[in-house]
Amino acid sequence: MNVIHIQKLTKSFGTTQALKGIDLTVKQGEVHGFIGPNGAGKSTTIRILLGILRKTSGEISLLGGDPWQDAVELHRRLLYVPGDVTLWPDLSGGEIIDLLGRLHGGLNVSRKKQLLERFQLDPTKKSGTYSKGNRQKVALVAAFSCEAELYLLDEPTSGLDPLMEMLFQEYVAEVKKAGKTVLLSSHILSEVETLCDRVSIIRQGQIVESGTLSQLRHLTRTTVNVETGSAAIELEKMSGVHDVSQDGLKYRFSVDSDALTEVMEALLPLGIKSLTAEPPSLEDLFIRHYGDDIREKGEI
Amino acid sequence: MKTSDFAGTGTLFRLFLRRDRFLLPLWIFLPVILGLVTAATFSAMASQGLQSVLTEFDKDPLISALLGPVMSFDLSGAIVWRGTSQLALVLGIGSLFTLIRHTRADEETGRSELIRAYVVGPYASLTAALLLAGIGNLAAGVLIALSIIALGGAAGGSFLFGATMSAVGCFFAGIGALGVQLRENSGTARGIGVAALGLGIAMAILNNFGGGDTLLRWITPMAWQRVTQPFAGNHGWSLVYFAAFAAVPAVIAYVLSARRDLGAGVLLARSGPPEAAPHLSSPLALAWRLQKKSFIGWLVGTGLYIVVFAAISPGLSNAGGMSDWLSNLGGTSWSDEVGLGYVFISISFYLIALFVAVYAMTAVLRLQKEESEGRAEMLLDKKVSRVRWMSSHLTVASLCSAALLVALGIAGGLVYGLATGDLSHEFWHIFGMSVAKIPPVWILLGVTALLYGLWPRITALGWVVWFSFSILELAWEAQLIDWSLMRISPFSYVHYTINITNLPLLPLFWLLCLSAVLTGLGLFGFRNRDVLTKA
Repeated sequence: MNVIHIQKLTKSFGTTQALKGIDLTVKQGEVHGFIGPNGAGKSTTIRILLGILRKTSGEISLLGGDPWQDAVELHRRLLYVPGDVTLWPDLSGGEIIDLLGRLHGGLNVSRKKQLLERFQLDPTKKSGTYSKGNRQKVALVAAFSCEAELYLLDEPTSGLDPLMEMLFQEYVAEVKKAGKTVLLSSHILSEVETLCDRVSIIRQGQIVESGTLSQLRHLTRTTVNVETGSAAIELEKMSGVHDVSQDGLKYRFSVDSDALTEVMEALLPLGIKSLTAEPPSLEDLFIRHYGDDIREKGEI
Repeated sequence: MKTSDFAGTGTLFRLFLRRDRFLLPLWIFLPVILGLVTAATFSAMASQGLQSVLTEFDKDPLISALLGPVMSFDLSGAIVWRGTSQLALVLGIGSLFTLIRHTRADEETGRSELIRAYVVGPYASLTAALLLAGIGNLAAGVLIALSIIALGGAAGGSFLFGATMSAVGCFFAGIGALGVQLRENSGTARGIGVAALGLGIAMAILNNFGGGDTLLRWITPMAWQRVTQPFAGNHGWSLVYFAAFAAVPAVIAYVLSARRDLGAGVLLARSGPPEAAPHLSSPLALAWRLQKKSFIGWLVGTGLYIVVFAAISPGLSNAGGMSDWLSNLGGTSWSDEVGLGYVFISISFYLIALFVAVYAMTAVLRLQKEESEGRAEMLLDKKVSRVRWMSSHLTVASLCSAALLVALGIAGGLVYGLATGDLSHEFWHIFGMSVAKIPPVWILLGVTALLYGLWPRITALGWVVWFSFSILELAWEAQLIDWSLMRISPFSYVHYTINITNLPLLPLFWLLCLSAVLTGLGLFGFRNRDVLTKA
């Protein structure tokens, strides 16, 4: 069953089109990574899912309902953590967590205590004195103290230190183990790589890639370092081979996944002395799309 | 609209109540205090019998043009007659700001987004805020009624007056609810609210000018007591009409709020220029850019008032039959000193100067806003010294407050001169009245700068100082204190009872020196203290 199913979703703000036909599917029980550069439309998509922005056109189903029509009913079943949390400066962190819990329909007190302790958040401080990271912790503690089927996390760890970041990952893993669904929008690609089953990359208001990490890796290039026994054939001229650099008999190049067999067959007769191949990281994937973005803009 | 659209309203109501635990009592109790002060003033004056004092006021062309005819010649009637516009103003401001604070301001900061992702309906914030303002106004109305009953007023009239005031407050809560729908920032909503309040007062004065019973009173909340007529006609049924009238803006607000995205306005966001203008290259240029809008707002608002007052002033003052009370304020025969024709315009400039001081103080306090919201740091980590940063806003505050008075002097002088037909002579006289107020205004600016520089946590003390100067004036007018005590207020050196041509200049010079010292101490303090940052 699909927890989130979005088809051809568009959203315009006046004359600017923020989303130009998003297709996104999140299956039950998966942690779905949602990555893309700033301004690509991640937060807009999530806000439409929350029913606080109205779609311009397209189809959306969230937990089997319509996010705009059934917003309130759906919110009983989901939790949201924004990336830039603003709180009421004259209320203490503890007050705010309880308030949010009540608005959700109750929170688990012992779990809250545990979260406060582990995130090292002092709930007695007025939130006006909290730093960015501490404000983020308030929202995280509030969300993880409650029960929900779906977690919408929009860059939830911005401003957290690496230890807290790891703690966050632990809680997401726990939620996943319990069979809940998570949509995680993030800039921290290592986080996405560790946590996510599937990933969607959004760029300029459109989803450009979507699939499991291995599927996505298949679409991109592997970086190969090879040292051969005799001079190599002209690698540059082979189709699917890119960015070749040479140092004596040592070569470094990247190769499209579907050209890998061909290239290896060509190298084999030369005698391979050493060989390393690096699978594409999510960062490479991201930079490949993001890079296109920069290149396009540079040419204009 | 369905029930779930209102989910969470109760919890939000409790949240708002918790957040307003200091603010709400303030605007609920202030009307009662103002009512009691009014009653005390009348009691103090009424040694020769309250009825004759009120009869005299009723006949005074100047006073009755502003406040309209007295409807009931007793203490309760005096409170209604004198107090309505003040109480309406306090309840109006309280209601407007309650609404803006809990709806648009929360959306602007992103708190609503956090809230709305929980089980909270789209109308919950708006409804909870309206409920809070409504209950606040009802409580204020009951308190007003009880305080008048305690002073010996009839219960029926007292509750009718209280209910009328509640209705006025509720109307402005509706205006607040409507204002926040239009644009994505709370500044616009505040501007709309303040303009509505100003318009209400102006329309009430027009209504009084026309004898108090014009058709305007039906659509002017500040004149609704002339419809219900507490302690006189006691037309309780008209409350139903007011309830309906007050509901109109709120209903429109609900309709509009359903048609917009969270955080957005009904009107599309305006975009700014893609590049900064070349002159936007110094802290001073930035300070001016940040404060320009508010300056223009103040210029238009105060300008309109002074134009109206200057236009009606010559006619009023020469109408004759001015009450002894007014011409002998504070026990002086000041109308002879300043000249009969200048009585009204002189008081007008004195009052407007007190408000220009409010402007100057808010302009200085912009520093605090910039600091506490973390924007000061972004400049102070550049090639900008603390002194330079603080002086930028101080320069804007002092020059703009002076410019306000100069502009008001020019506008008032022109209008008054044209109205009397003796422009060349009158212009400079009126202009002088206005610019003479610059030194005392700068004293309050200096006090605020000093507090901000040395003790930023108690800048609110500046308002206490401003308030005491205003109270001194009231106390002196009521002859509770004498002139020597009044000298504490810097405004006394340019008091409206002093003819502008006889104004002693040396004290004004010392006032300027003092304001420079205060400001300098503030700069010194800021140079040596921590910039407040979030931990």
